[in-house]
Amino acid sequence: MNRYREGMHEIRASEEMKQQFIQQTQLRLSTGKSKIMVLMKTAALTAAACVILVMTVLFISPSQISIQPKPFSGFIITAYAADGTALILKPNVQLPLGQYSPLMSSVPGLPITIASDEADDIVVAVSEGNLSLWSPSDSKVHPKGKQLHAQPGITVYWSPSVEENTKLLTKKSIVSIIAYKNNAEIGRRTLEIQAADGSFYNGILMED
Amino acid sequence: MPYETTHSNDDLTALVHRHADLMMRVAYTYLKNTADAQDVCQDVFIKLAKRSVVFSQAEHEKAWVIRVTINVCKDLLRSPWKKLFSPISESVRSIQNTSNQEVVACVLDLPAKYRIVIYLYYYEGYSTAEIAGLLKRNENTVRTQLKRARELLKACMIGGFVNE
Repeated sequence: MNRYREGMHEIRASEEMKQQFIQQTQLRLSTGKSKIMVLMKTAALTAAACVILVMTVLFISPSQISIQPKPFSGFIITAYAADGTALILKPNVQLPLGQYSPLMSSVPGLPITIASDEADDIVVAVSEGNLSLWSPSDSKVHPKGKQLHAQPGITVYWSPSVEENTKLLTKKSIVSIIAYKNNAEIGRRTLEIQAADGSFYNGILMED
Repeated sequence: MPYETTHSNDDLTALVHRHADLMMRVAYTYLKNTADAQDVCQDVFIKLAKRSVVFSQAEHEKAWVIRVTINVCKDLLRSPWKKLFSPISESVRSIQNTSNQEVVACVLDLPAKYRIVIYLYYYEGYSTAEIAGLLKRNENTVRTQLKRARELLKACMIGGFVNE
């Protein structure tokens, strides 16, 4: 077993390692940072963190911990002038929405396109008049009454008819547009429609 | 609050120079890894430096160092962290002579209970009775382990399957 003894003799702590042992031992003895102390401190900190976490979960109401929605960048609401020109509505700027009369058979109402990058569902509700959906390629009009759900980017039609198929027209309507994402409201806008001369209507997007 | 030390810096330096190699060999015999052996040595030096009772004889001190080193190694091997993230055994690269390296590698391939007996008997020169006292084993058990270890070593050396 001489070869074993000779081999094992070569396994030793280098001078650098010995100096490290001395320094580390002195350091640990002077600061009192023994392994037990470090473990105790770690355990105490972990326990404190757990207590704080439990207290937070138990005592903060769901409304306080609910995640606030990101600032809503808003809708892009496009109306169309009498000549068909697209007009993006700006807050507090009155723009002509075009002409509509129940006698006009070409469109079921004044077209308003509502786009939003953030919403996955949009609810449009009107105080007066009626809403409907219509696609020129699909000649069928879908009456929706005073409220409808739509995907962002869709064009809805607002008709000033007080009741369907009547010639009685409203002079004013408030259109509420509400954006939802994952069934949570993320923003809303109000559009006020007012009758101008004859069968012409103006729209004004209200400031938040 | 800082611990009261029973050793001056000179004492500590002397302790390290007196026992560092012994600790490294015992720890390496158990762990087969220099980095882990170094950590064990550091822990044992701290325990030794914090020990309030001074040893009356050098042999007692040496025996204490061996026993504590073995215990720290066993604790390390039992730790879940060590079981999950066991470093790759680094063989015996530090041994220059190839034939010596082969013999040491054969010993390190033995089960831990045989390795430490071989080390204490052949390197440290302890008797089987002293080894039994150090390891808290029956002397006959130590003798049997020594015999069994020799047989395994012989098979390893004759077979020439060192490090395979």
